[in-house]
Amino acid sequence: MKELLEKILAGGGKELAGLELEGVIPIRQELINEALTEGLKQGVPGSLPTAKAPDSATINALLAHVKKAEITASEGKLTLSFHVKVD
Amino acid sequence: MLQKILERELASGFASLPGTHLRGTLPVPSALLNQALREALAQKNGPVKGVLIALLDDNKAIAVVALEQWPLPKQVELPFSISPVVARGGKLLASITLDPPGGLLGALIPMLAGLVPGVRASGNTLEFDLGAQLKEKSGHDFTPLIEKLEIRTRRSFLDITFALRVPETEAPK
Repeated sequence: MKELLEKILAGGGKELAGLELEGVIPIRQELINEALTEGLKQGVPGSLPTAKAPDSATINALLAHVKKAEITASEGKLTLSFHVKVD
Repeated sequence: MLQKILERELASGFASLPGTHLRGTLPVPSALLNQALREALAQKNGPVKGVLIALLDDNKAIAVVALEQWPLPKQVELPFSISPVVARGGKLLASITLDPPGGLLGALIPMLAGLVPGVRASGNTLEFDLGAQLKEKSGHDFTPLIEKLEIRTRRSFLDITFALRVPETEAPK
């Protein structure tokens, strides 16, 4: 399963034409600070374990699907708004 | 690590993320679905030795099932229809209706499917309580968070359309 997902991502997500995801995630500062603390303990802030890091061409291909990404800050929280669509 | 935090949030039903709302459509290629089935079956001991799903248009599909169960044949092809609405009546229920094959096979398949944990058989309709399974695995009832969950099929793809909202009142104590 993991290999298959990696293969799909390595193709820049083209096989997932029709995928659309949008949302708003308010993140409290306590959670952000916890993520930073845990990340610093591991050496790389916020890192997810991956078997193989994607190359820059793959990252650029994946980023092309991001139609909107906004972060707004208010007292005690950051709010992430995003829209991803694979045409 | 971020993964640990994500796992904790999932287990608590995103309790630390009140006000979150997500909606979207996830196309699942049949290759991914079949790989998941292969991995699930590899962990179980039962008469079903393999399942390969061919997804067609308009919520139709064919399952090719490899069996080791006397007196059934070693391989059967089962056409079925998938109910598009999963979130209904406060529950998450995935259901399929088998296009009834004749004879002994027609009588035995729903009965055998009913023996699979989590599957309820009623005539040729098999129902799977996704909400109960999710709750059992994660320890949290996600049903109240899910505003919409629908499944559509097209050739070689399963499209899952969903909307999820974490109420503002879900703030941690």
